[in-house]
Amino acid sequence: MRYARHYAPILTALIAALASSSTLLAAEPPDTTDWTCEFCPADTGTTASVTLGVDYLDTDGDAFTDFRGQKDGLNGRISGWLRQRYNDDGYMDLLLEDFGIGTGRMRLVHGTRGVWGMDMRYRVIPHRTGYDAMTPFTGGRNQQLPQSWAPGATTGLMSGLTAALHPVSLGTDRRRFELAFDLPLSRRWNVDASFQRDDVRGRRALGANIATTISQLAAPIDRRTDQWQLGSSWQGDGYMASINYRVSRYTDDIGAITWENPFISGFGTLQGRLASTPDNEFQMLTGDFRYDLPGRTRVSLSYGVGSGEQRTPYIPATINPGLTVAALPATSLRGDVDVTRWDLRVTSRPWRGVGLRFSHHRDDRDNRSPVDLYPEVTTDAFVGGLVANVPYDFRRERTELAAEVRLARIMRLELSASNRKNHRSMQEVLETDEDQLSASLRMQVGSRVTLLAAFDNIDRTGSDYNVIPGITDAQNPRLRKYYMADLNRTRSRFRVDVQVRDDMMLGLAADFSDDTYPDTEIGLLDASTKDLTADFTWSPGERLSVTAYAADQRIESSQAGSSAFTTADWLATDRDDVRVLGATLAYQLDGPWTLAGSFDLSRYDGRTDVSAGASTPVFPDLRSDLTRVNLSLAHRSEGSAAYRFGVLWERLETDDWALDGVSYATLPGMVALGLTSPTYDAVMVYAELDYGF
Amino acid sequence: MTVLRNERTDRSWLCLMLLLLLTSVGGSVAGAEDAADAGPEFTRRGADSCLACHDETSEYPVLDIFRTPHGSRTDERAPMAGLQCETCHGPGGDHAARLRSGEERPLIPMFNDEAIHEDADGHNGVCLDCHDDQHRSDWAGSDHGFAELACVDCHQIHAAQDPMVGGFGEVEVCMTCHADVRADFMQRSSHPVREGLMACTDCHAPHGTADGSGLVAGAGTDTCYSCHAEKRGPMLWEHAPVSEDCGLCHDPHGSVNPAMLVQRPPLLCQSCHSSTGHPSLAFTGAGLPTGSPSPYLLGSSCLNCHAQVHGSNHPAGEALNR
Repeated sequence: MRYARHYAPILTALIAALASSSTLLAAEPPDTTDWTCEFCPADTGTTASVTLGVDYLDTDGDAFTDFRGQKDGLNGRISGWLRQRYNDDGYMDLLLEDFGIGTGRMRLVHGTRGVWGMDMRYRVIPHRTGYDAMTPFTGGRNQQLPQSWAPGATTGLMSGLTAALHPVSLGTDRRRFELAFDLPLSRRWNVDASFQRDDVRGRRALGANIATTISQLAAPIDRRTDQWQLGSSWQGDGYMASINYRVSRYTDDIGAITWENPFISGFGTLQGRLASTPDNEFQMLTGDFRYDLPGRTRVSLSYGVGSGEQRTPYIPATINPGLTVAALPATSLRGDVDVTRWDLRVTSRPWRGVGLRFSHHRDDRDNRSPVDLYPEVTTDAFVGGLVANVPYDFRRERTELAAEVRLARIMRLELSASNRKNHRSMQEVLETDEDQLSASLRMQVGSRVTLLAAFDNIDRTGSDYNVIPGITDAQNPRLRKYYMADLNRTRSRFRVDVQVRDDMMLGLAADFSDDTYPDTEIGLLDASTKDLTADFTWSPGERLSVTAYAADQRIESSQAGSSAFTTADWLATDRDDVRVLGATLAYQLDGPWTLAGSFDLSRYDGRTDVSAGASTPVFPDLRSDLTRVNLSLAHRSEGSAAYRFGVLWERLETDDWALDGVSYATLPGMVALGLTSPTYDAVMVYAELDYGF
Repeated sequence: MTVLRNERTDRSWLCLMLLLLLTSVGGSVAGAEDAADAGPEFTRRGADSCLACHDETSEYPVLDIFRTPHGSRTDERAPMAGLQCETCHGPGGDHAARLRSGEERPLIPMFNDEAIHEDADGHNGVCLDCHDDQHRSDWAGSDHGFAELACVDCHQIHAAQDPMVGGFGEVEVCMTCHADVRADFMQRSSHPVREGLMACTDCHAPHGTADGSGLVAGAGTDTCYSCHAEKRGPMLWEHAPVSEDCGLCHDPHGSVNPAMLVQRPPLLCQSCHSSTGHPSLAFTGAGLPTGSPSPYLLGSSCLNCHAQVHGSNHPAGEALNR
């Protein structure tokens, strides 16, 4: 606080000087007696529209339905809106979208302008996470094998495996309900409140191991998150104050997942058990204050305190009755985390074309969960000693000073310098210090061309890299974890926007980023990205519009490892190439017909090379090719009805060496789900009838 | 158990003082500029003067504004309840005046195409006169605000349905400038933005945030926790980068790797883990099904065993496999 104390009188004097220098414009109000607004249309009454849609989907892969919800064959759905306006400035809007196909959104907005408002939403997000899964297990939180199951030492020796397999669907449906109220108690005082509930149910692939044998389970998910928020703000002349309180409560209805061991175990382990995610609760109180000074200067301060707790009772350290295990030190973690955040920001535009910004941000996570000694039980198979848990603390600080200057009306220069400090507890590096310098120049060349060039340089250094106490298996001392390692990053960006004609825009951009980790012998050594993008729009009149975009991205990295726990003895390089191309077209034909089309193409090619000796078997390329064409024809006349026909063709082809050829028994020590890389060829024909009331 | 000592960043205060000093000089200049700025007269009939020309057949039709909150004449907060069109567009007397033959019509003072980008900040000030509430309080310091974007670069004030309001059309507007992000969402693994089930504002606050991150609940993890609260913990056995920043392992806009990972396992895991009992072995093509299939490489790779990579609350979950 040395400087703060020293400069406090100056700060006070400055604020006083600024206040005294303010000049307010006193605008003369016009005489509005004749402003009757007789040409202004009244917005009252009810209007509505209903859209009935039907589609026929023919696909040879489930992956098409990810995030969509359609099923193979005939699907029906309903969309629509209802709009009601009342004489007293009341309003009500109801919007439905795509109900009936596994997705769907609903929104109801109701209120009286300036008096109250309500916003209610509901949406479903179906997400498929694995395809062609088969499992011998049945059940939910208790994953059981058939009664006749004969354990084998390897999957190849499990005689009943093939016969026991049955398909299982992997993925979740997220159902979100939101309700928000807004209550302007006066022109200055506002109160708002909201509630959000997320229900997520489904199954996911979950690895479960006993010693070196693995069962890949289709584990159930049943999660609920409720979030409440209550806020109030006061808007004064030249200042604003607000307070906000929010609570999040998460509950997991699974608790634990138990599975029967399909392998013959040398440890007498007939079952294993995993813990599901623990319930948690978090609450935070935030206060914001803003004060406007003359010279278009704003001082903003935000301060928040929060606390989280986790009290989920422990399950026993093992389900294996043959193991003798020391008692747990507690019945639950009694986990507590305190969060403190504060942000100070001063922004100013003292002259036209000049902007200044100073900010300081601090975020502290204080994990007050007790440290205890827990019995070390390895995969329900054998018992070790005692091991202490490691509750991590973090503190992040970021300070930035930025200036933006407009030069000669055609040029804009932005400069910024920032420092980021990350403090950590119980980790290899207790503090990293990151300096960033950025500069960007935007220039108007003539009336049709805009150029942008931007450069960033990041230099990160850290305190000594240490072996942390309390971790049983020490890491290789030559390893540098990439997010804590010393880093040099340079990034340059260029963009050109050209207004080719009055109705045509072209944008070209290039983005290059290079990371090097100078002190790393084992771990990530370097990484780079090269990103080229182009976008194009053409709107020659009201009847035709065309947009197009293209991107070409290359991501490369190299890292070293040590199989022998000494110096680096292998080197891996990763190279990912992504090319994306897309276009949309809308054309108003003669009469009431409109033709619309879109085309998207995405090509991914990934290569991993690991060099660990004279002749290292190579990996095949990773591949993901997506092609999509959508064409539709819409008819809208002056009547109430409109209709639209369309066809969507989409094909996805992927090669993934982690999944391809990995069947239920490919790995001797793993009963796999036999997931396949997503591949499909889908055609969907659809029709919609829209009727307005 | 705070083990971190509080420190004071003295440089921060020096920068703050410098900034305030600069603004004190600027404040006087800005005030003098404003005082010297004299505008035209107001119209005689308010909106009726404007609507005489700007009907549905006009090059700039505006009647749809009466289907929006701005068009209310009874809500005292709405521009149409005050100086009507001239609340935002400024005095339009010159613009609406009769012209002599061959005379060019003067532009409306505010929100004409030329003026907006000459002084985006000044125009935004018109909007912020009413909308400078707690949700837009950080606009001036936000990346969008600092780059002098105009509100109308994204918002359509006269449209019956502004695509940026309600979350049903905003993605296309955002992608107009963020073309690289559009490409990210075309990748194999991404949030369902391309499918229309999420919008940019589910995570981003385009009007700025107090911490400058532009994320709805702040940088690090809290924005992610608003949908993925199961990862919040605290867990008995934490995975340090999970508690610190989801972005250390995931790219939320999309990735060529499963689960939006920034790199493919096992290499991603091996960039941080190489321990005595479990060294970072070189997994090569020899571990594919055509060779000696390796559980360290195939399926979920490291996660075949360490499935609880986001943390475990099992008393024996130290290795994140319970």
